[in-house]
Amino acid sequence: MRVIECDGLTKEYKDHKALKNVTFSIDNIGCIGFLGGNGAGKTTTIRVLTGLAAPTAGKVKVVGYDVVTERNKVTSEVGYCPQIPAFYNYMTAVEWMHWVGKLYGLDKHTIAQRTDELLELCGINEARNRPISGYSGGMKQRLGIAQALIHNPKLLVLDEPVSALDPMGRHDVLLLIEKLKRHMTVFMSTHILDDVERIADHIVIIKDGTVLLSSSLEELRASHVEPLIEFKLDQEDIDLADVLDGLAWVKEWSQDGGVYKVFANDMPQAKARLPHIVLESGGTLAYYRLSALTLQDIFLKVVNNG
Amino acid sequence: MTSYPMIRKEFHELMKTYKILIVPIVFIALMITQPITMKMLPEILANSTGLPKGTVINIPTPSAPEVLSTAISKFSSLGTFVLILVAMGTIAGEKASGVASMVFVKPVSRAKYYLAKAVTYYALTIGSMLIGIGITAYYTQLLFGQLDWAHVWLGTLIYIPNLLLVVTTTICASSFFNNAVGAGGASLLFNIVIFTVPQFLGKFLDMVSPGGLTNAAIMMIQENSTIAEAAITAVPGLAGVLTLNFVFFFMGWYLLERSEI
Repeated sequence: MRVIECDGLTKEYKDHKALKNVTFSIDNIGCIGFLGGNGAGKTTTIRVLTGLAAPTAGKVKVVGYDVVTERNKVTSEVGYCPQIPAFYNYMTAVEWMHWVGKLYGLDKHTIAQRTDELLELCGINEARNRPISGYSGGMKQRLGIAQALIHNPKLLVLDEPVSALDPMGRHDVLLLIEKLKRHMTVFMSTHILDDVERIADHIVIIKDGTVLLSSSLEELRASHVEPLIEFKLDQEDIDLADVLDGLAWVKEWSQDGGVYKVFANDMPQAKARLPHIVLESGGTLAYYRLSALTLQDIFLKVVNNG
Repeated sequence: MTSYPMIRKEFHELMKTYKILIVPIVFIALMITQPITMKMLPEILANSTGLPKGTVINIPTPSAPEVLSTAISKFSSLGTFVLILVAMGTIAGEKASGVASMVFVKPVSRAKYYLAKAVTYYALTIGSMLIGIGITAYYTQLLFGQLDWAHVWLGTLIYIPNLLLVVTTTICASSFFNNAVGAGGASLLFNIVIFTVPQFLGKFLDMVSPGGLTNAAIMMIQENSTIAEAAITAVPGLAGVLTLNFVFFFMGWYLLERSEI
């Protein structure tokens, strides 16, 4: 079954078009990384998928149901946690979970059982009876994920789930998502590419309201294999720009923080010549490796070409 | 399926935020000051400075119905303000904080959400008014003599739709605006206009306006006419104010259905 089907999704506001003919579909698979820069249209897409906003044009189906005409069925099968989850702050985590469970029509016993399981799973069981007003941002994020899971949804939608967390919190939430994706489809928007690379199985890249790419991570890597050599010099004052610009077997290169990335037209030539060029320039290598493209490289390439 | 938990949550919120205590106490305080002030007035004047020696002021003792009707009349403007303050953030505040979007991604229709808000605030308003008027009338009776309780309760019931109109218009504004202050400001402005302007626009508009309904309620409480006569006087005001309540109730619902959360 396809969990998400967007066909020509367009969303217009008074003064701008947030989404332009967005078309992609996602099968029932682990974790989808929804990538894009700030203002690319990630949150607007999520608002349409969760029934918070109506599309101006196009058809959108989530877990087989139309988001406009079958909104109640969609909301019954989808769990959602926004970037900054908000709660009734006078409630405790247990009270919130019980209330949300009631909204989904669950019985008391199931709610109590799911509440215990999920608060434990999300690591906020110790604070379960404290008012939410006293929670840190990370605790609210965890509660946001826990409450989105109470009805055991088929699709879990997370909008920037780790952007407000400290490194430990981020690590824990990513581990949690890795566990969850075995039982449901997780659709996660983010601009932290390392996280996506770690846990996503499928990538959708959006820019300026248009989907540039929708592919599995494996296929994406296979289709973007490029001969790349990455190296760093011990000497930061040596500049290889003039030398690299003049080499016919160098397709393109970049330098960031002393780390050079050289894409070669002729890999054997590049492997043979680059170490000598470095030595001839008076430098020594801090490290040198043949590198595969990272998701960041692919993302930048797709976005810049799109 | 979801109406009951929504309404239950709203009442739970009234308790947790102490509105269920604060509003009746404020209503009592606003109304009960009138009989106390009127009872103490001769002493207040006697103790005041600046009056020439030998000044004699004769103040006829008002009747209990007169005191109670004045209490309602004086309560009107401050009571309106209190209700607006209490209800203005009920939807707008949740939209601004993001809680509304947490609710609407669940199987909760906007109609049920809106209805739960309205029902809760109507109940709070009616309960607070009945408690406020009951205690004030009791106190007035102790200080100024007997009241006819049938007139008191009927007068209160006639007056209550005015308070519900304040709640309805505030919730309606709260559906439209994305911040509580905007909703409160719009509701305050509307209520000032609807309570004051119609009296200058001819007898008919005055009769069907909230001001006309307040006058009918006061007439009932003052016991100058029979219950039947006072009730008939209240009909145009009730018709007008209940119509306004319906119109703004459905307008608020429509605005919430159409708004992007």
